[in-house]
Amino acid sequence: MAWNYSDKTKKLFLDAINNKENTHIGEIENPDGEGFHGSLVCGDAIKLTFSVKKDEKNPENDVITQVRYLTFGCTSAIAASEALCILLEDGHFTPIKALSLTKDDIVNFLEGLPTQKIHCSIMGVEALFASIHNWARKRGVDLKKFGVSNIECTKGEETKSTESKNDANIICRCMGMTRGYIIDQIKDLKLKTVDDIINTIKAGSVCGMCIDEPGGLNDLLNEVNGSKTETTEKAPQQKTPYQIAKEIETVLNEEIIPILKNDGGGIEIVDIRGYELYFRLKGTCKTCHSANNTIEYTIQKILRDRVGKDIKVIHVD
Amino acid sequence: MSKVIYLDYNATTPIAPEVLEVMLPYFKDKYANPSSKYKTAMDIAAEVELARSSIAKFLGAKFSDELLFTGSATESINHAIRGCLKAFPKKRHIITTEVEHPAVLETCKDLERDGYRVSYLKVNQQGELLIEEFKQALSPDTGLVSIMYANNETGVVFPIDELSRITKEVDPDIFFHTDATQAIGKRPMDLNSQSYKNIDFLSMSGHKIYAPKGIGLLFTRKGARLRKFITGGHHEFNKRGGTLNVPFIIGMAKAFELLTDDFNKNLQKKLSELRDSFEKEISTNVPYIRINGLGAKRSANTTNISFDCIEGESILFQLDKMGFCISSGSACTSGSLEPSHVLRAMHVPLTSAHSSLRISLGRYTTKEDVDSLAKALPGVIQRLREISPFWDRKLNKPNEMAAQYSCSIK
Repeated sequence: MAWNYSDKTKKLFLDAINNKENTHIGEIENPDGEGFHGSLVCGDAIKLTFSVKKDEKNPENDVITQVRYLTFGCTSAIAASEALCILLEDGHFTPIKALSLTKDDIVNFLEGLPTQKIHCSIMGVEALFASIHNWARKRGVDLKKFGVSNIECTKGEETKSTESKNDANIICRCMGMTRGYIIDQIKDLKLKTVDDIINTIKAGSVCGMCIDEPGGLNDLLNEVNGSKTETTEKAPQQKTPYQIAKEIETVLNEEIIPILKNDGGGIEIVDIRGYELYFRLKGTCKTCHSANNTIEYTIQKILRDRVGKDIKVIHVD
Repeated sequence: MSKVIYLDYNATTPIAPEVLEVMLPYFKDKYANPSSKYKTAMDIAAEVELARSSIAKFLGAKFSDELLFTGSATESINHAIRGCLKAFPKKRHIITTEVEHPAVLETCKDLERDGYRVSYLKVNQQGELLIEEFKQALSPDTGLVSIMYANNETGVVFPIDELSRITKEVDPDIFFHTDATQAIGKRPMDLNSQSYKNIDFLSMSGHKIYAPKGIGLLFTRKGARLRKFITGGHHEFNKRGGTLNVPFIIGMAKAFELLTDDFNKNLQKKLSELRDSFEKEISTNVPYIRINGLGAKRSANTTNISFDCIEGESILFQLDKMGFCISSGSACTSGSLEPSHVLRAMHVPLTSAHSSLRISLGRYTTKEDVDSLAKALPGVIQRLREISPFWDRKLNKPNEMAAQYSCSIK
C-alpha cells in the first residue's frame, strides 16, 4: 500500500468498517432520493440514499435529514462516502443547496487525498447528484430552474450536465462517463494527458477503446487544451528548403536505401528543389524496368509520411 | 499494534539470524577491497570466491565463474536480456510471457522502442502456458527466450525444463533466460542436470532467500555470450563493473547453505500442507471466492484468492490494523490504478481481480500464524461485503447489479 492517507481518512474508514456508532453505512428503505455511481469493473462504486424533512408548501425547501451509503472500493472510497454523509447531515442542506457541494469539500473534510485517489471524492459527488435528480423527480421539482438539466445516462443514472446536447454522449463506456463530464474534469483538474485522465477519473482505464477513437479522450484533450495536430500541420509550410532537403536525405539514407540495398539496388539523389526530389536508379534497380514505377511510388509514399504531404518524387534517367 | 504476522514472503523474506551473523565481521574489521593486492584484501577475495563456489555447488553450476553477483534480480534480468541481444545484434526477436515480473516486461517494452519484436505468450485460466503456442512463436529471428520459473503473484510454475529443451531443439543459437527469483529455494534447481542443462541464463535475488536486499545473482552458462551491462573496472571476471559487495555476498552464500537445510527438513512440504488447509478452510467459510491458479502446478508457499464484490485495498488496510502483512493484486494498491496484469492475463474477471489477496508463507511461518489469518479473514470479508452495493445482505450473495459485470472484460 503505497498510499499515505490522512489520519482523518483512516479513522473514518476504520470507524465505518468496525460498525462504530454514528457511521452512515446502510440503505434507507423508501428513500426520498437515491443515486448510484461507479461500477464493479473499475473497482469502486457507491450507492447513496437520503431522506428529507418534507416542506408541505414548497418541496424546494425540503431539508436532508438522513444519508446512508453502500460502497464498494478502497479505503479512501469508503472514507469519502462517510465524509459526504457527515457533510450533508451536519449542513442541514436542502437538496438544491447540496448541488453546490464539490469534490473539494470532501477532499478538505478528509484533510487531503492522494492525487490518484481524487476520483473517490468525485465518485461521491456524482452519486449525490444522481440521488438529488431522483429526489427532484419524485417531488416534482424542476431542476432546470437551477441551471441543471435532466439527462439520463445509459445505465439509468443521472449525471450533472452542461448546456450542449451531445455532452450527454457516453465516451467511456466501461465507466459510463459522458463527454460533458470528462470535459469538465479535464478543465477542473487541469488534465494534460490520457494518463492523467486514467489516473484521476479512471475514464479509459478498462478497455481503452475510447482513448484513440474519434471524439475520444485524445480528441477531448485537444479540444480543451488546444490542438496539437494543428501545429504539426502548419509546420511543413514553415520549413526552409535546407531543412526539407536534409530531412529527405535522412529518410532516404536511413529507411529507403537499406531496403533497396537488400536487393542489390540503390538510388542517387540528382537534386532536391523544395518538395521535389529528382533521383536516378542504380544497380539492379536500373535494369529492372517493371520496378521503376513501384519504386517511385514507394519512395514517394514513405517521404510523404515522414517529411510532408507535398513531396513529389521524380525519376530521371 | 499487537503482534505482527508476516505472510508476504514473496515480497521479501526476513534476514535469517545466521546470515546476519556471518555478515557482521565484514562491516567491521574485514573491510578491505577484495580487488586490492595485500594480504588482508586477498584473504577476503578468497572468501568471496569460496562463497561463489558454494553457491555454484548448490545451483549445480559446473564452474563458479558462471555466477555473477549483481545488485538485484532486476539488474541480473536487464543484464541477461540486453546483454544477450547486444551480443547478437542480428537477432531482433524476443519471446516472453504476459505474466512476467515488470523487470522482464518493462525491459522488453523498452527494447520494443528500439525496434525489437517481442512475442508475449498468453496463459490459460489456470495461468499455464500453452507449449504449442510457444513452439509457434519461435522464429529464425529469435535471439532470446525469457520465461519465469515461478510466478510471484500466483505461484504458478512454468515447465522451464521442457521449454528450454524445445528452444534448443528448434535452434541451438536461441538463448534461454529464466527469472527464477520466486523459485530458488522452493523448486528444485540443478543447472548441470539433464532437465536444466538447456538454461543459458538464470536471474535471482538474495532477499527472497533470507539474505539481505540489494544483492542479486546472474548465472551465465559457459559459452553463452553476454555484452557487459554495467561497464567499469575489471571486477567479476570483467563481466560487471563495481566493487564487490562483500558482506552481502558472504551473507548470500550462508543463505544458500540454509536452503539445503530447508530441503532436508521438507520445509516446502510443510508449507504446502499449511497452504492447502488454509485454502480449504477459507473455501468452506467464505462463499463466492476464487483461488487463482488452482489446478496448475504451484509453488508450495503461495496462494492467491479473490473475493467477489469487494475491493482488495480495503481488505489489506483492515488486516494491516490487525497485524497481518499480506499483498493484493488490487488496482488501488499499485501506483497505476490497474489491477494485476497477471490476473488479467489469466482472464480473471475484473470483478474478482480487484479483490485478490496474495498470501505467501516461508521458513518462519507457523501453523498459528496461518490459523489466525483463517480466523480473522471471514469477518473482514463479511463486513466489507455488507457495505458493498453489489452484495445482497439478506441472501448473502452477490445481487443482480453484480451479475451484470460477471463477464470477463479484456
